[in-house]
Amino acid sequence: MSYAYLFKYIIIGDTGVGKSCLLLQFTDKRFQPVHDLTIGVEFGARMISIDGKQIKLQIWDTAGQESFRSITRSYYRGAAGALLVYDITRRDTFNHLTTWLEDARQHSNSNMVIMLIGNKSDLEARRDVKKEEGEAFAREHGLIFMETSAKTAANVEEAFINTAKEIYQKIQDGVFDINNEANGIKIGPQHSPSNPSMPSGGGNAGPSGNCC
Amino acid sequence: MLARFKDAAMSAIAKRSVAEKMLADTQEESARNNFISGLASGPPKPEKFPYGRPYFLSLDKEEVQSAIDFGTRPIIIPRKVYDMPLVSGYAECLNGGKSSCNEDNSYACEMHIKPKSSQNGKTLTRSKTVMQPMQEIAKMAPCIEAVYFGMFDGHAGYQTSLIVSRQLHSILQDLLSECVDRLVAMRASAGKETLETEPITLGFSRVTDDDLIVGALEEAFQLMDQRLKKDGEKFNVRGGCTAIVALFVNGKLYVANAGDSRAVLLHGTTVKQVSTDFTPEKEKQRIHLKGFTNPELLHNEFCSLEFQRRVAKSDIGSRMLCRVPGTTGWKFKTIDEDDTKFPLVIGHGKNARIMGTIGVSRGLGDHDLYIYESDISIKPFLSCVPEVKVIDLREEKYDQTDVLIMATDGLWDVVTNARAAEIVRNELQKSKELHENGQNGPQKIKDLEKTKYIIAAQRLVMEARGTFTGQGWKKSSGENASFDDISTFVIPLKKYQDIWRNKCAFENSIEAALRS
Repeated sequence: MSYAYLFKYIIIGDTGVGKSCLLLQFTDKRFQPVHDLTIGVEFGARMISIDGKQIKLQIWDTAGQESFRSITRSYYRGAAGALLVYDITRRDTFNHLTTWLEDARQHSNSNMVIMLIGNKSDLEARRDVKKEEGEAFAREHGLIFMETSAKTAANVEEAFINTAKEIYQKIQDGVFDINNEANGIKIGPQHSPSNPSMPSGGGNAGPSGNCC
Repeated sequence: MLARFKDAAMSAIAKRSVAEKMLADTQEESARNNFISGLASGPPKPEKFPYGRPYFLSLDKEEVQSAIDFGTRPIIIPRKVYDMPLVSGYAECLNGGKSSCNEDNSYACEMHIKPKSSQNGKTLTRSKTVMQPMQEIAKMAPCIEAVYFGMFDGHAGYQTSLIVSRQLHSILQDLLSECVDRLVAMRASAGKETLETEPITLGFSRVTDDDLIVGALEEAFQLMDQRLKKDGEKFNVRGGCTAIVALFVNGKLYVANAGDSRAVLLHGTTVKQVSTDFTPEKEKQRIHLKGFTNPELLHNEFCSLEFQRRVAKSDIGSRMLCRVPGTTGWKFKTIDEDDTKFPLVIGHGKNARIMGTIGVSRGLGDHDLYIYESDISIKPFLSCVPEVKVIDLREEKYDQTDVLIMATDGLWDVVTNARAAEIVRNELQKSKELHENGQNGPQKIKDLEKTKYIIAAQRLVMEARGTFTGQGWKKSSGENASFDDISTFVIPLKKYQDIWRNKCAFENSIEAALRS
């Protein structure tokens, strides 16, 4: 499907805060309570519409574990938006935000839009971080903030779409150089003056039925 | 790998006509596009397969495209761990922008090899036989189980490595099924005083099961190469690829290699390379002998003699040390006009080239590889026959940290065997300790068990790819990282050994039951 722009996102934050579940809820509209640990990088994509323009979000979901930090860091480059996620029921995940933010600022382009997300808002009874604390942290560091629930889908759409709106606004304001793909923004095929020849994607053939 | 062609075209320095042709077009892009197609013309042919990645990565169309990101070079690993035979590890990452996509490709599968005649009949496999009477089992056709890993590094396009990754295993399986009766009989009679079947003899020497399996591997590579030639008539099959295969069968490991990918075996504290890197320099003698015995292939442009150094026009009439192909020693020769022709193999180490063009001396495909704007074919000098090394695993004592690392030159160009071993061992040791200190819940241990070889493979690729800095891709040490496609398997040896031993125990129990 054709699109006007492609925005590349990255989802970061401690292990177990619900990064993969947020992605799954956004792309597939479903919740998977038991999710395998992400040890590499997973891709997700969805089309949204802003201002009547089709925008494709390409989302990179990363590993949160400390031991994969160096690999995760290498994926900040070339992202237009980042969802920085913590778990409202685990204070340590909130305490680590500073480290994540430092990492993100250091390894990404300076215009990257960062959305701070307090996930698992459905677990109000087990809340360990007040909403006001999240808001204060976001204000202090110039981030957008939302509390979400990947389980009930509350605010999930909004989190992804509001980030895109912010990026879109920055494009309108001329902040982003959209011709530099290192900024995480691509102009859609039909809008691009020259369409670089890329191999026409093809899935994978299973072990059976792929042979002569 | 593509860079090597380009470099060659640009760096070949000679005053002779071929060299002039090679240098004539200094526009890189057109050189890249025309170099390989040689004399091909006519309407564009369709592609045999659309671009794709190994099936065990379970990437959909969208994800295949997302992974083509030269700025970030994501490291891709299998998502469903149990898709991998022997719960092996795998990781890959594409080049830094030297070609339009990842030209490496890989495959891994279990093989149940049955005699050709009984392909649809009943066979002796574990799962099916539990409830069957022993007499029934005894009547069944023999079956041999094998595990196959193949890795292919393409050059001048992704098509060849893609085709080979999806077809070579089934060609091999067909060939093995032709000799499965023999293999079963040999296995059954191993260690017994009386042979149940007539041994195959060849003069004075017996033909062993190793000979049959090595033969099947060699023939599979040759058939694949012929099939690529045939494919080239109908499809757009440009370029070629290296091929390395690790086949686990009958308690042994067979590593078949045609190219410069490499397999390294880690056992205890030892690190042993179990394949040869086939570069033009390594195979100088074979290549020179080919030209020497088939001078028409040289088109009066190349010299097949080896000299102590590059011969110049001014050397004519003087005496220089020379080695004639087919001999091992050196002799003095008076230089004449012919000796000043372009050397058949030029350069050293990773920079060595055949006819100033290709930097790898064995591989599949390249049927369309001609010297730029000429009708001089390079294919006759490339060998598609693999060297097969046999490693007997049956009596060895393996630990979960003992593995076979198999990777393309994207890894080995920037990571030594010893460093690769260190990285893998560190990673596997970590999970071993977590296992042993007993503080981890069963779920965590299960997760680790599933993924430790994948994580080890990911670490290897990360080391070779490095991170992007203002000065390009750099390793953690600050040295240049690899700009090439990088692919790696990490295969646990104990896992195979356990399966093999269980199978033997199972068969022995059947035999014992039948006797009683």
